[in-house]
Amino acid sequence: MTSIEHVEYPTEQALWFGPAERPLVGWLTTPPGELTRGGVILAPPIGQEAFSARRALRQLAASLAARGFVALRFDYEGTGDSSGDFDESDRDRAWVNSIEEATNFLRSLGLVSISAIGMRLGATLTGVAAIERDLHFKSIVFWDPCESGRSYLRELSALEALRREDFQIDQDGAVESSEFFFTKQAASDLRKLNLANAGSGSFAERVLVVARQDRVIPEKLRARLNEENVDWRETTQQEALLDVESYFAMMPTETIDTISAWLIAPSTSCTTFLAPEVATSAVVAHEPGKLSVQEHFVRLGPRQLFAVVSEPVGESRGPLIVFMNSVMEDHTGRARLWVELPRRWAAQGLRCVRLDLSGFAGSSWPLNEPDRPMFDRDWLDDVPTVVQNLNPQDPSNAVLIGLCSGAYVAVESAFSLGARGACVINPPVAIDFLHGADHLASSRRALFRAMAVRLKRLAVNHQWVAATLAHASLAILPSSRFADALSKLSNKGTDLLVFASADDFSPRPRTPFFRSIDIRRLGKSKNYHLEIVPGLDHGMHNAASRAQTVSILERHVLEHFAGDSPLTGLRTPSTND
Amino acid sequence: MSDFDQSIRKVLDEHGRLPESASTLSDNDDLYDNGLSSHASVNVMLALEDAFDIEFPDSLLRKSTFQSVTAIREALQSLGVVVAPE
Repeated sequence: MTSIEHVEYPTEQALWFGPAERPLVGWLTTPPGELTRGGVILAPPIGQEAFSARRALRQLAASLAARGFVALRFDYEGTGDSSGDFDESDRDRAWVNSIEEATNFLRSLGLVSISAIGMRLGATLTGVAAIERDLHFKSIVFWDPCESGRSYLRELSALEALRREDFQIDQDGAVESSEFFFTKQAASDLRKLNLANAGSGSFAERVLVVARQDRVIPEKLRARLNEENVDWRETTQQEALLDVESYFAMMPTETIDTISAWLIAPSTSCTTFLAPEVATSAVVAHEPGKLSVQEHFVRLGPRQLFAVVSEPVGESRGPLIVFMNSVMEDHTGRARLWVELPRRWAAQGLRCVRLDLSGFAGSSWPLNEPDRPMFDRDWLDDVPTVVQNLNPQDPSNAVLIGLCSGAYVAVESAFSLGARGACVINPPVAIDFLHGADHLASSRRALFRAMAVRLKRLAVNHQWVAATLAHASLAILPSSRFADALSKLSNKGTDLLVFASADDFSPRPRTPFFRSIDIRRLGKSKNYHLEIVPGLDHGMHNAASRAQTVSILERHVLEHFAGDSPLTGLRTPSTND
Repeated sequence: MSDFDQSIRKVLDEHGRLPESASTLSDNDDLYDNGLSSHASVNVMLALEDAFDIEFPDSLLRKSTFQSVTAIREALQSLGVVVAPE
């Protein structure tokens, strides 16, 4: 088998592994049948690149499993769904540890031959770990490797400086790009990593470097790599994978085939492998003076939606807090806020769930599907499905939280559930238009339903045109007949907190006429709280405004929903809980 | 065209992802207007550093440094790269 188009669908399972005090999240992809050639760990990039590469690494894991390998994708400590924080000290050490833990986990399954694949900074980390920890990899693949943490951060800074005239590079400080923010601490830790200076010794028995055709491999790194028995391949697919907005990232199918074929090349005898029982829950936080937090994976509803429940060990209180993805986001990069907040709030007694909407991350899509729709109508059913499963007694006792398209999903789901609360950040500019179109979609008349499809397409392709049409309707029609979606929701009794980026107000945000319509509309409803945070951009990339937004959101949720009833039966768990 | 300028154009051809060869552009043509993207600029920066064994200081990491062949040449000269006489 040489093409991933013919890959058999492998078994894929989320699990916890690693030290009990710092558990890591992984996805184990196992081959069909009971034979295996060995194990492979897949070390992802860091930051925004991790998000862009996630689908590709999942596809690579499936491709490897179809060829008889057991593949483990994982999140480094403090990234993705793993425990810990991105901004803690010694991230370089923690991430090297994570690679060692992933390797040890595969060995604990009885796999003898272990190989590793690292992309970008994941390659740097893998190489450093291989030498420092003496991991004895059978094969190692450096996929578009970064020479060092310093070179990686320098590339990010240079890119930002080339895009923005006002950007100031601080070589020893924090690195804030349009997509990601590395604190001074995290950046300082990263700068310690260096693949070219990795000590003497072999990375593995065999080494493959997959280099970008359009990017130079620095001389020092090339010299270090050539000290070993290295195969070199070039790829032209990194540009379309990493140099684009993440949701336009293209699947690097040829590169995946190249890597899979190279790994299988030496004749390796197969051994028997039985899929293990794995841990699906773990205690992820135990801070002094706060409740310990346990997380577990669930699959819910007919689409087997994947979600992670965070709850205090013992009893919880208040409504179920539901976090949902925005377009193409998972729990990596800036979207890790959807991991951090549930843990913080669970430590205050709230039960939270972060949900992968249909087609994202854990809520799998077919592996041979080249691309996902930008917006899937099924999302509007996903949240009610999850809430009804987790809160069967009272599905309305839920607070829904979303950003951008996730905000739209939160609003529509709040309508469906009669939810107690919703906190929406930068809902799409065409939300009123979409809401109206969705109303038409539920009509008994086929003509109206067909019209709804066309209108939604207009909203996706020309959001400002749709937004302007909705604006015009709101300005002309009496509010008693035609209220905007957010006002309607709050008037139904949902406690609503709305964050609005000034840039999202209207097609001409600095035109006083349009802006005044927006502000009057947003400000006139009695039942919701509107927050306009200075500098808040649509994607919440700006670090300062993001921190302020989170602070307001956190205060609102804890004040409004965390004081419902006293906690009872609390206990501090052992790590075996 | 000097060897120096030829080297710059070679880097642009190999790493700049320009729709047309850099040899068809004049020294002062705007490279961004001719298809040089921000991401490709980073590739060009890294390739120039490798080719001339220099490192651009932060003060030169800006759009204008890679605006044209002339701008690149001046930036390299400011870093002490010696231009052989034509």
